[in-house]
Amino acid sequence: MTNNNYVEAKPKKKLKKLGILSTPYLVWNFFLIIIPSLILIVMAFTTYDFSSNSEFKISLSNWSYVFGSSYAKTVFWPAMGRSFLISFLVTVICFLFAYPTAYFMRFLNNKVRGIIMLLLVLPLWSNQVLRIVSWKTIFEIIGLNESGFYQFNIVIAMISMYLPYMILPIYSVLEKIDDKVIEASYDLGANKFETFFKVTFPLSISGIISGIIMVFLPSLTQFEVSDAISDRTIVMLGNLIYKRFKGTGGFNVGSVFSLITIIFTVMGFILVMRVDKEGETLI
Amino acid sequence: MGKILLELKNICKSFGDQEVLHDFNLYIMENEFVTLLGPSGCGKSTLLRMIGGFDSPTSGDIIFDGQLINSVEPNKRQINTVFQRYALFPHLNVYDNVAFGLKLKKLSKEEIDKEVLRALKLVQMSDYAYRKIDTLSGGQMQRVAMARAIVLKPRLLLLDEPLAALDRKLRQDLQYELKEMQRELGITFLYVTHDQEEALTMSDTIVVMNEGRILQIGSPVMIYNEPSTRFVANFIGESNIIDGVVPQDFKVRFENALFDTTYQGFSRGEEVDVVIRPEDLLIIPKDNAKITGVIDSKVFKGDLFEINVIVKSGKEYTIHTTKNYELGLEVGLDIDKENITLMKKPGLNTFTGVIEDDYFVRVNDEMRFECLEDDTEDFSEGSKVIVKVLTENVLLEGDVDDADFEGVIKNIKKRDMYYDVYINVGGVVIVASTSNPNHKVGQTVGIWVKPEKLVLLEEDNSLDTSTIEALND
Repeated sequence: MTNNNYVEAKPKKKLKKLGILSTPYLVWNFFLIIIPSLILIVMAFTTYDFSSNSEFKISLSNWSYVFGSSYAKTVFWPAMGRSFLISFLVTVICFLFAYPTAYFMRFLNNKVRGIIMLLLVLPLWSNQVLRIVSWKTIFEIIGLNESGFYQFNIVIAMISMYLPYMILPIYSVLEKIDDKVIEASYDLGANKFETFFKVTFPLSISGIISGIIMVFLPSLTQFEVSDAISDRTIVMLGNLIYKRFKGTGGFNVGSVFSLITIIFTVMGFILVMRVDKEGETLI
Repeated sequence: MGKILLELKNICKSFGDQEVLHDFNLYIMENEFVTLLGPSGCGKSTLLRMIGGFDSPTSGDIIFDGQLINSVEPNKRQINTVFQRYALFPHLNVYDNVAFGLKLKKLSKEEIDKEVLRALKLVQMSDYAYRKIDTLSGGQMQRVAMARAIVLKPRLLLLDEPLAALDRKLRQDLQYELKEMQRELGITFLYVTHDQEEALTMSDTIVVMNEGRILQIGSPVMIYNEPSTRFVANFIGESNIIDGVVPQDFKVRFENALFDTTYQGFSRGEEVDVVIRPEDLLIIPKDNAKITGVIDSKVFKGDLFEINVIVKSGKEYTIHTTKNYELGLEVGLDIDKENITLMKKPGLNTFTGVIEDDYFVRVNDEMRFECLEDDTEDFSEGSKVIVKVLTENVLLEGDVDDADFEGVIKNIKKRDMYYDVYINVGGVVIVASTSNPNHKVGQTVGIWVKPEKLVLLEEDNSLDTSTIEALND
């Protein structure tokens, strides 16, 4: 009996020991994700903003300001619309570039694929702001740095920024497709075209959705690209948030914006989890 | 049977400089169940891929129903494959997997439904039509893969080790089902396996392969009882293989005893391999026995005992018997004459040559073999050696440029499944055994021997049986 207990107790003990190792991360997580989220919720639904000695009163006034006032008509909805439009364009174009690239990479030998992989990841190792500023300079050199081209320029810069995040998850599902399954399709009478649309493409959908989420969501909330490229003349959702939290006084409305983006993020996450249960397409 | 469905002519296949299939010739009759049997890496799966259309031969013809199909796309062939590890479509359910090929044929919904349900019924999977693939067991997936292929009514069905991933009991059940199904459907089966039991159970014809060549073609009974080479005898179940001498027709001498056989036609005094299956060796009282020995070990195998007897010469014999004998008991051994198989010793070329440098040995002005540095390091440059190579390891090449050297065919003799081709190379004759019947006397052929197949001996070491064994290993 005692022997039995010992055997059962052992794995639990081991788990506990290992659990200690993750404590630093959990503490970090608690202070920098959980607590701030709670603060955001409090600020979004009250008049208290933590930066000044304002009155603590539960209220929906922040929400009605964002959605209901003239501010909504002149600033919020246009910024929101612009954000969605630009993010949509960036995502679609990224997908159109990424899928053929990922598909092509599947057939390369390891050496060539390694080089392409490196070229894809290399830019991610350099500072993002630096890359944005470089784009600005490029547009200047080729004469596109005019206000009429700003939206176009933003889209271009963002595509270059987010393309790897579309290619990598798609490639990772394509790579996992068993060659024999493709051969089975040919064997059963399908030509290359039919095989692609009936087998390869359906089997890569989980990667596509991961890619879309990983490009669309960050695009929606970015502010650095639009700020730098358009000299702060083009306002997107990310810029609104940035403006509210820069300095003091706008925290309550900023919290509302932030919660809106958090809702999109959670929705995206749920979608990915549904198509990709092991999370293998997420990087 | 009667009509030839598939013909393979002079098929060669190389990946880089590695030759996987060498001059492969085979034909398959309609409604036949043919099994390609061989160890992994013998080229059997490559051959299947070429017939399926997923690979093309380096040279040679694949003829299906009288048509050359070398460059026909896989989706245009009336051939379907049951893949190793099934290769089912993970995004489709059982029904849609089976319907895949039918939908491409643009059949009506009712027809598709009828055919799919019939196929599922045949493989006993009717109750699983709407199950997802990842909820099926290995045996069930195998059945779905089978249904998916036969639903298209192929002329020829290729099966690439379809049972390899299943456990023993299930494998045996499915063997009988597959054979039954083949008979019922009247489809020609080309089955690939490395499992000799599977091959013996199901096939009409077995093709034993090794290193990209056919060693023997025959019915399971023939292959089992009369293996043509030592490799086949060993590969097809356990065997006792003993060196013997044929003193006259219908006799063989081994272990210092004379036995009756059913064989004639060996030359007087010819050395042969005597093959005896473990279940054919009989344990008898030691008095009056021609061979006596001591029981050295005993293993119970469930339905029989595997007993090892060490005889006077020191050789160990493996015997299968249902009776339990005591260890250490002295016993006699006997064999019925029908159960003694005699095999010709493999053909052997022997030359005298001179070591040229680390990599070459020269026999005469034209004949020069490439050899391994490991083999030449025992000899100094210019020293005389004896070069031995089995006739089956002498490879013939239509393209003279690819060969080590060339010669003119002066004679061709048929031997079992082989043709012994005698080739004159600058006055020295080398013999090559090949399964290719298309060589002609007077033709110039390229000749090459893989360096690792060459055996170099000091000049005074004459041939004894142990060198033949070394060559065989």
